[in-house]
Amino acid sequence: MADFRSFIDRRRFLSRFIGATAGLVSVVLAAPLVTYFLSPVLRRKKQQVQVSLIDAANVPVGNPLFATYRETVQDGWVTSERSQGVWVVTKDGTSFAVFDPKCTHLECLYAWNPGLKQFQCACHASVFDIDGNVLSGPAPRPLDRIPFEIREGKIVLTVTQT
Amino acid sequence: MMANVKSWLEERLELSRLAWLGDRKQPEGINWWYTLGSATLIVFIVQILTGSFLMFNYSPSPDHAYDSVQYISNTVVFGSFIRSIHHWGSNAMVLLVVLHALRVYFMAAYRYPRELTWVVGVLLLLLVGGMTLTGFLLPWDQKGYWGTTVATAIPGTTPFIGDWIKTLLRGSGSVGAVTLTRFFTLHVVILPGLIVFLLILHLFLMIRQGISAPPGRTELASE
Repeated sequence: MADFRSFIDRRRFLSRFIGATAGLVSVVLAAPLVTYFLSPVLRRKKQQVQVSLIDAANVPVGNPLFATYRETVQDGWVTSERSQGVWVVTKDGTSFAVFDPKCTHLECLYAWNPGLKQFQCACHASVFDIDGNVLSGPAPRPLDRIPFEIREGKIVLTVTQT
Repeated sequence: MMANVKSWLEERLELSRLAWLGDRKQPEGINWWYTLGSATLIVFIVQILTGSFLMFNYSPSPDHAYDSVQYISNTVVFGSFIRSIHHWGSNAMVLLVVLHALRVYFMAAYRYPRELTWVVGVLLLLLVGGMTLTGFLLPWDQKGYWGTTVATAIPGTTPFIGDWIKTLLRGSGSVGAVTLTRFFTLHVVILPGLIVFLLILHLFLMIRQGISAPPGRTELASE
């Protein structure tokens, strides 16, 4: 018995045992809590859908058109249908481009200025030309393009949905 | 490294002078029944943690409450696990505070000089009851809705002021949107705040006076 006591005394054994148990319980609780918090970034990849937008013939030449389509959005526990817009551009009536409506700087919505023939962002004064190139302002890259194809005269977008 | 941090803190805060807090003398004859208060405290901390995380994804409105709870259970990673801990934790909480109160009662620990600790403890018991009542409604399911309807109709039978109490609890004529937001506010802010305040008082009294000795054993000399 005396040997046992010299090996590790009761007080120290108990304090270490309790400490280890508390640590184990804390980890078992903390790990799920952290994962729970990280849940939004652990979500699975979004899926791509095709959306028929407008007749290509309806896009005015040299004057970008803000065209909208309806989409169903799953936002957490809220499923809602909302209007989503894109900028459709053609300079000659045969080749088209579709721009994401968010500025590449910090995602504000920009607008077309018909007088100056520029896309202008109201938030931080980024300016883009009709091809989406940055003319001035803090925008780090040209406007984002949305992939599309022209099917039976209609512009059909490929958009990613949550 | 750790030793450096320790000495840095020690030099400024002299934490070693508080070492007695974790090394208090206990009377002879205490047993496992004396751990129920600590157990309640631990479960309460777990409830605060899991409850806070549930709030990340909870929406206290009749349109969204049920769906947001389903979202927690079905979509959020570990959501059902966290929710289950909170659910069973609330059951454990009630069980533990009742057992703790029974222990104090049967060991006659509520008597002089610890009447204040007992009174604060009874208030805490009532607050835990309030937490279970308000928390029960939040999932906004059939059980919560009708449970709350019945639970608020019971004080409604009080003579003369019954209707007044019932309307005050519900915030409107029947259980609805106003009831949900008011129960939510009570559940996550007001009642937990009161519990924390009284809990600190409860612990202060317990540490200040020491744990009572079991009947027939000698009390620790104070100071």
